Amino acid sequence: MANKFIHAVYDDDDKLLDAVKDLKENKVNIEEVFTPFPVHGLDHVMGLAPTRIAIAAFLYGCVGFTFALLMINYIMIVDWPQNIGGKPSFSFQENMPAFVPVMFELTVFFTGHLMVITFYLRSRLWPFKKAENPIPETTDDKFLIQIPIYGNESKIKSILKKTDLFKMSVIDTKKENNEEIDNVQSNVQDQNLEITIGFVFHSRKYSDGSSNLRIQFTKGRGQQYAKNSGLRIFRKHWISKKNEVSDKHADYIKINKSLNALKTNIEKAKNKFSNGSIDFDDVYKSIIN
Amino acid sequence: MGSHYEAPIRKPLVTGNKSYHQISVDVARPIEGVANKKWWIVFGISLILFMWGIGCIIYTISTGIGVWGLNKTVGWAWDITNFVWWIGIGHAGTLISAVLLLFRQKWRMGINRSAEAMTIFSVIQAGLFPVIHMGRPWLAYWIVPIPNQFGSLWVNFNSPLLWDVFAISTYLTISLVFWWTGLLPDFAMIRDRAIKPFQKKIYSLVSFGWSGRAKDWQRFEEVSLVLAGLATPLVLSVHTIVSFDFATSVIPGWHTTIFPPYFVAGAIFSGFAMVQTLLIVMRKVCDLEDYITLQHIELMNIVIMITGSLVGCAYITELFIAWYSGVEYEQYAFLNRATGPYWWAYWAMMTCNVFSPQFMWIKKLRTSIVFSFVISIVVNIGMWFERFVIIVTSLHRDYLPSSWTMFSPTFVDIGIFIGTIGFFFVLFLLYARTFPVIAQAEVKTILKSSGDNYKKLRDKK
Repeated sequence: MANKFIHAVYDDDDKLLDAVKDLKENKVNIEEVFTPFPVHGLDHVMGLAPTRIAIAAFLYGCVGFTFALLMINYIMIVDWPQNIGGKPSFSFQENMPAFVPVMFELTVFFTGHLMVITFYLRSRLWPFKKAENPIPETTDDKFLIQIPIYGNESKIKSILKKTDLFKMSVIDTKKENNEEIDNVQSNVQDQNLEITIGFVFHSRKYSDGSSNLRIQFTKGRGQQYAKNSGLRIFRKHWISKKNEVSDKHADYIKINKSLNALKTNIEKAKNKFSNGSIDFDDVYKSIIN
Repeated sequence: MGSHYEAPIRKPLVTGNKSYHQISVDVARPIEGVANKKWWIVFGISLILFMWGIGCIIYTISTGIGVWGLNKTVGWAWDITNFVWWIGIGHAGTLISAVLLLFRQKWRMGINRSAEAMTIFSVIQAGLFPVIHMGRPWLAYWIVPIPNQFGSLWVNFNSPLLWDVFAISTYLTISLVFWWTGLLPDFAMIRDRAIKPFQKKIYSLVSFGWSGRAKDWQRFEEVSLVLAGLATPLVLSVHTIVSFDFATSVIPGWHTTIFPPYFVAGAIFSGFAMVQTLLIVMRKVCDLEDYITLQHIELMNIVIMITGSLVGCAYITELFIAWYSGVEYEQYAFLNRATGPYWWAYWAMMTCNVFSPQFMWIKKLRTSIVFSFVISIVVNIGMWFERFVIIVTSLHRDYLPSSWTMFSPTFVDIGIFIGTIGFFFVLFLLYARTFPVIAQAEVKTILKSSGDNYKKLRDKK
C-alpha cells in the first residue's frame, strides 16, 4: 500500500466525471472516489465491476422459499395433519394453495434481510464503525478522488491541474505536515507559519436570539476551521473592535472575564504553533479544553 | 449537462435556486436548530393522548376484553377497524418509495423519507391491536411456529390470521431496513456537519460509518432497486392478506372476491391522504416548501383522486354483485348497510371517500393547499368509516334475527384508538426533529435535471 496519496477535490459531479475520465485515459490508478450522492455513470467510468448483490439476493430468495416449503410441510403434513374445514390434509400438493401467502412472505423476508446484511458487511457498515471519508465535506457537496502515489507524483499533479479542480492536497501517512494546493494559486504555497485566530458567530440563532460564539482558525489561504468557544452571546451587544460584549449584555462581567481567559490562551497557542510544538489542526485544543 | 436533460414541460421539483450545499443546510436545519413552542405544545398533547391510551390498554389487559363494547354478535369492532385503518395508512410509504422508484418518478424523492417513516409508525400502531385483542399479550409469541412443550401443537398455516402475522412482520421489518439503508448517507451528512460532540457521536452511531465510496453507492443503488422490486409485491400482498381476514369467511358482506384489489386501492388512498396531511404541515413548519412543492401536492392529489375513484367503483361493484348474485342474505347485508341503523356511517363513508376526491378534477382546487389539507382529513375520516361499515354492519345483523344487536364503543375503545393517534404523533414529531426528513442525497441527484435554476439555465440556451 502506498503511504502517499493525492486528494483531488471537486465541487461538481460533472467536473468529477471529466477528471476521472482524464485520469483513466492516462492510466492513473484511482484508489477511491468519495461522493455525497450516487453519481450516475461513475462506476462505469472508473471501471468498477458490476455488483453481484442482486445475484446473491436471488439465491437468498431461493433459500427462503425452500425454508418455507420444508417448514410448512413438516408442520402441517408430516408432524400433525389436521382436518380443517374438511380440506385435504395429508398431501402437501392439495393443501398448497393455502400455503402460498406464507411462502411468498418468507421468500421476501429472507431475500430482503439477507441482501441488506450482505450489503452492510461487504461495504463495512455497522454501528460504531468509524467513517472513512477523508474530508467531511464529501457527504455535503464535495467530490474527492484518492490517488496513491508510487513515484509518479508530478505526472499526476500535472494531469489534475488541467482538470477543473477545486482543491488538491498531498497526504503522507508518514509525515505530519501535508502539502495543500489551491486551484487559485496552484504553485507552491508559502510555508509561513502565521496563523490568525479570531471570533465569529455561528450563523444559526437560538430561539431567544442568541448564538454560539466560535473561534476561527485560519492558516494561509486554504485551511480554516472553527470551534465552539462554549459561550452563547447576543450578537447585538458584541463589540467587534474590542472582542468583548458591551455592558448591556446580561452577565457581561462574567462573559468578558471568560473572553479574556480565551484571549490569553489564544496568544499562548499562537506562540506554541510558531515554535512548531503543535499542529494547526490541534491549535484549538490548547485554547478550549 | 446533456445527461441531466429533462423535458421543459416538466415542472421543477426543487425550487429556490438551490446548490448542493444549500440542500444539506436546509435538511439539517430542523435537526440543528431548537424546537419552538408550537412543537412542544403539539408534542405535549400527543404525549398526553398516548398516556391516556396506555392507561386504557392497561385497564383492558388487567380486566379483560369485556371492558370494550363487544358483544356476542359483534365480536370484532373498533380494534380491527383501527388495525385495518392503520395498516392502510402504512401503505403509502412503501408505495411511494418502491413503486414510484420502479417507475422512475422523480417526485418521490422529496416525500419518500417522511412517507416511509409514517409507514413504520403506523404499522407499529396497527400491530398493537391484534396483540391487545389476544387478551394475554405476554403470550403473543405463540403466534410464531416454534417447537413447544405442548407436543405437536403448531400454528395453523391455513388461517388468514396467521398469514397476517407473516405479512405484517415481513412488511414492518423490510420497510424498516429499506428506510434505514436510505437514511445512512443522510445521517452521515448530519454527522459530518455536527459541531456538538454528543450529536456527532449519535449520528456516527446511526450512520454506520457511511463514507460514500463509489462502490458503496453502486451497491446502495442496486440494493434499493432490488428492495423496491421486493417491496412492490409485498405491499400489494399485505393488504390482500388483510382483506383475506374477511374474504375467506362466510359472512355476507365479507365473503367477496373483490376484497383484495379493493382493499389495496383503499390502503393507497388513505395512505396518501395521511402523507398529504402530515407533509402539508411539515413543509411549512420545517421550512421545506422548496422541496415539497405545490407540484408534489398536486401529484399526490391526483393519486388520491384516482384511488378514491377506484374505491368508489368497488363500492358500486359490491352493490351490483350483491343484487346480481340472487343471494338474499348478501342482498340484505348491503341493503342494511345503506339504509339500516348504520346508514349514517355508510353515507359518511360514501361522501368522504367517493364524492370528496372528485373535486380534485378541478385544477384550481387540487393546487390549493388549504383545500388539499381539508380533503386529506376528510379522506382519513372516510376510510376509518369504510372499515367500520365493512366490519360492524356485516356482523350486527347475522342469520339469526333474535341475536341482532347494535355496537357502541366504550370509553376504553375510544381511549385506545386516541392513544394510538397520540403515539403515532409522538413518534412522528420526534422523527421530524432528529431525522433528515428529506432524502437529501437522492434530491441532490435530481437537482440538475429538476432544479428550477438548472431548468431556467437550459431554457435560455
